[in-house]
Amino acid sequence: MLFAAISMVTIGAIFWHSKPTPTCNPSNADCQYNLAAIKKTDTNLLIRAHVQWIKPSISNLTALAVDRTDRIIVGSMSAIEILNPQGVHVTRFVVSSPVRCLATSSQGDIFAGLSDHVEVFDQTGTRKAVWKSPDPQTMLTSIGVSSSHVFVADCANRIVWKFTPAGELVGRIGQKDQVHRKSGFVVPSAFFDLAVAVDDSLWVVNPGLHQLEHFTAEGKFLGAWGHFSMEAPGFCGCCNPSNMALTPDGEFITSEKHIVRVKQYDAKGQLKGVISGQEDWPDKAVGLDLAVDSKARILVLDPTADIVRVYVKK
Amino acid sequence: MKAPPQSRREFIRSLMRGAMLAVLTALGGEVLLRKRCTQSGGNNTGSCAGCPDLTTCNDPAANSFRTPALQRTVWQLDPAKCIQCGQCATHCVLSLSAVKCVHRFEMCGYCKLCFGFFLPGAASLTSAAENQVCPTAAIKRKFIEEPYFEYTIDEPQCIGCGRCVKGCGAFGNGSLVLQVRHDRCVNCNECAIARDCPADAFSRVPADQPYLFKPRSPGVSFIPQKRPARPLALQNSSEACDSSYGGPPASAAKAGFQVADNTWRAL
Repeated sequence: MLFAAISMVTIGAIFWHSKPTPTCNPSNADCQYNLAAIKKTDTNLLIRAHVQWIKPSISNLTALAVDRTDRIIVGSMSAIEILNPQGVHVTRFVVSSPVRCLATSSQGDIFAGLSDHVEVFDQTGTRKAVWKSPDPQTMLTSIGVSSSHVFVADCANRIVWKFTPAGELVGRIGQKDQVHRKSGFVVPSAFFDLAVAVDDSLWVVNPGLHQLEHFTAEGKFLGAWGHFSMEAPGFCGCCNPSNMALTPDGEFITSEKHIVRVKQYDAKGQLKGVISGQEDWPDKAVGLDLAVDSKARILVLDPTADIVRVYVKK
Repeated sequence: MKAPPQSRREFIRSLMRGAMLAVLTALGGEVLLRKRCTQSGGNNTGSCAGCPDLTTCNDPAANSFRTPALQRTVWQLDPAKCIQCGQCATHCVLSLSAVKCVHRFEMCGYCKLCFGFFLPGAASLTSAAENQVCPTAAIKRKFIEEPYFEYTIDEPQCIGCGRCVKGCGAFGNGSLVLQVRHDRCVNCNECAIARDCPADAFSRVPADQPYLFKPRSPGVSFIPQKRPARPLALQNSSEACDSSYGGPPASAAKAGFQVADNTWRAL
């Protein structure tokens, strides 16, 4: 009996310390994580043609904007360059720290989000103002200019700061509430974009919830659209879209990381089509900043090749 | 020649003896291998000098190379080169690989939808086995506050296949990485995984800096995460002493990674 008991205890101990049994053999192909199939684009959804590469004279591009005259403005780790709508160099100037985001006002001023603060330049590159950083932890990722305010997205604080055009901080948009926005902004990575609509309302990406949220200029939550999906109509991965832009008629252009794709949605958030799929991009392409000019040309920043890609309707 | 069993009882006894002997032999092999390669004076500084298996360990030629103690090196894999081919799980001389998934919490987004945990086509966001990337269910998912979840590695269950690492890198911040764990590694002179690694990701690194992590990209690739605050509902509960909350305070991000006992190790 004693021997049997010892044997049982030994066998029990062996099982307790036993090697875990995987549900598939890691060296077999069927156990591999197959990303290629997931990343394939349905060519029936492609709606735009790629017509032009614009190569700025500066490198390490990080931000893109278009002004009221369709001039193209690109930012890098150390400079800002202005190009005409055909991509011909106009001017460039050096900035004090990496440019994270760019926007222009109707007067032609350039608002640049430089890491943790905003600087304002005129059309020749002369610095007009340096705004105070709203918070010691601030990490700016997007900037939008309306007729009366400047909105700045801060991914570290997960909030949108509201400034006057003179640089006075007048509010915070997107705080949690107990009714519609219990989670607030969920920002797992440093991609947190916004855009100002023609009616001066504000669209902000909530990447962790895979949706775009609509606010009044006063910060009142109006609604949201978007859902997670690996398929084209949804937003993929942990946190997407990474960037967004609005067309003059209120449609949405979005770009995603992980499965790199640029897509167009109508004003109600229904997918119209894919502008560019993973096949056109390196796997590690991230931060595809977007801009739309008055002729509805879609400009996409390609930081992997330091170029701007231009897409028009087929 | 031993006589055949006299009775059913004796037959069962002999079966039990045989089973126990087999089990002890199997256990003893690995214990012996570990002891020979890690005992004092061994492990690159003594007689063993890191052996890939018992046969080689007994070969005098394998013992000829000795590294001075001040220059001791250990095997490590570079996550920036790793392609998560799955060979780390199957090529290690140990029956359970010394390569494990390591979680860098300061890079983690605490995502509700984590692709290191869930398969891309998961039917629902539950911990059911068919939804999980990990073939041994070695990643534990714990609710922190809506919509944040914490993911920890149950190291004894991890076989080092890298499926979770691939999912996290492909669709998340890349906070899960494979590393050779030196509480298990016997530091073979010729590492069997390194020899066959298709990405040439293995190299020897100084023993006093035995872990390699991905360099942060020059631009901003992720935000140093603050651990989400403990849910109010749990603050006064009996789980208040739960060790998994012994990590960085909610008020400050902390650089570190999880080790086997779920404690934190500063980088």
